[in-house]
Amino acid sequence: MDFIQITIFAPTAFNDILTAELSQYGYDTFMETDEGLCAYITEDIFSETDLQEVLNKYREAAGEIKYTIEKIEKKNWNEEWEKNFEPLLIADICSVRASFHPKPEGVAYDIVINPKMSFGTGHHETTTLMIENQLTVDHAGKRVLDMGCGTGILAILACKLGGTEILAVDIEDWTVENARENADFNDCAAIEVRLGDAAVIEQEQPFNIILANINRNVLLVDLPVYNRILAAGGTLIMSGFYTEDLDQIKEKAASVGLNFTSNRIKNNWVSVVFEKE
Amino acid sequence: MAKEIRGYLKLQVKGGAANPSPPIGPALGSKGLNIMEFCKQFNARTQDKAGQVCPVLITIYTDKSFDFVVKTPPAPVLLMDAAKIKSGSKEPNRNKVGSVTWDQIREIAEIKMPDLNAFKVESAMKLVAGTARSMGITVSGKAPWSE
Repeated sequence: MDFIQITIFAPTAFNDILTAELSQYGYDTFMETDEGLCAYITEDIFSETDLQEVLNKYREAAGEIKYTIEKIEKKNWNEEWEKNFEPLLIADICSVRASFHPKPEGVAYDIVINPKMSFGTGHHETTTLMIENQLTVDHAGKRVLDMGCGTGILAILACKLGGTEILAVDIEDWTVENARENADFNDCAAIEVRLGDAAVIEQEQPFNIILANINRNVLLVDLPVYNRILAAGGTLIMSGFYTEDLDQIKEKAASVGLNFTSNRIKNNWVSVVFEKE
Repeated sequence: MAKEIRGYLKLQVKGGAANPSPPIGPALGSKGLNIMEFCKQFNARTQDKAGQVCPVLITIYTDKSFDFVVKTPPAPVLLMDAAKIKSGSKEPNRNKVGSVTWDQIREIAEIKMPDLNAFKVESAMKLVAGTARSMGITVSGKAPWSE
């Protein structure tokens, strides 16, 4: 999907009003620059008539309001960061690196990730914590689900830890494509990558391990679904939220019948482990 | 030693909805910042303001690290919520599209105080009421200071 950038030249006093108005028409993000207020919308829902309707309201008060329209093609904007992506060693046994880094010696699990625009290189606390928790769980011969898979890093580790059937799911199309590339790069034929949200897993056979590094709001909504498709004796590992959200997550998990096992914390981020009887 | 600042970015992003599309992707990416790390942090910090536009000031350092501060939502966003309208008036000077009470103006002023150049809540209320009028939202009743 390509994007449309509208640059609006109006007195800065009107920036907040125009932001509030345009946010009702599908403009999700705005940037204030020296030239003017830039508003962003996906190409499929852009309407110049809507834009003019909003601007016309304030022409009397603000004077002349000019604008320019520019199309921005989607590309890998993360390329610059990727070039400088430092390889990592987690828990002394799991390395995460890009394909241009040399293969490390003496690590049990070597994961290669070319992240492009997806989340999950192990540099974020939540990914590190998830990996640390995963390393304590026996994956051999297990069916594993990775919800919100991003680069597929956790699914790839699940495969290297011996998981035999792994389903990785994400709601972003570019991420799904990226997770497939990374799974291939790591020779993980056991991984199936699927586009969608919790709705696409509801009919699945039970999983022994479910991994979900997303965010508090999504986890709270999807916990009952995870519980339904978690096998008896199965493990659920989640992250993507802060310590202050842990009680709410634990309460919700308890309400669906999951038992809290442990949690890890790093820079206020948490990863928590639950088990099903 | 304090880190050297390379520049700032002023964005307004819907709470919990940051993603690597423009402007976040190109603006952060061109400076070599980890785009996804910003998105994850921003979304976690603004999860209670889902769908509401949140101004964010990002400080970019020369070592490609960043910090950011999330500010209070713009007054027009809070006013539209308070008046339960989806858009301001087509002719703000003539047709009024909604109304709010002085109590609601006070609530918004109190939320906005940290980001406004106002020391007293009354001054903040006057600013917010002015914004309401320019959008075609009337403030019902008498101003508390005119009683």
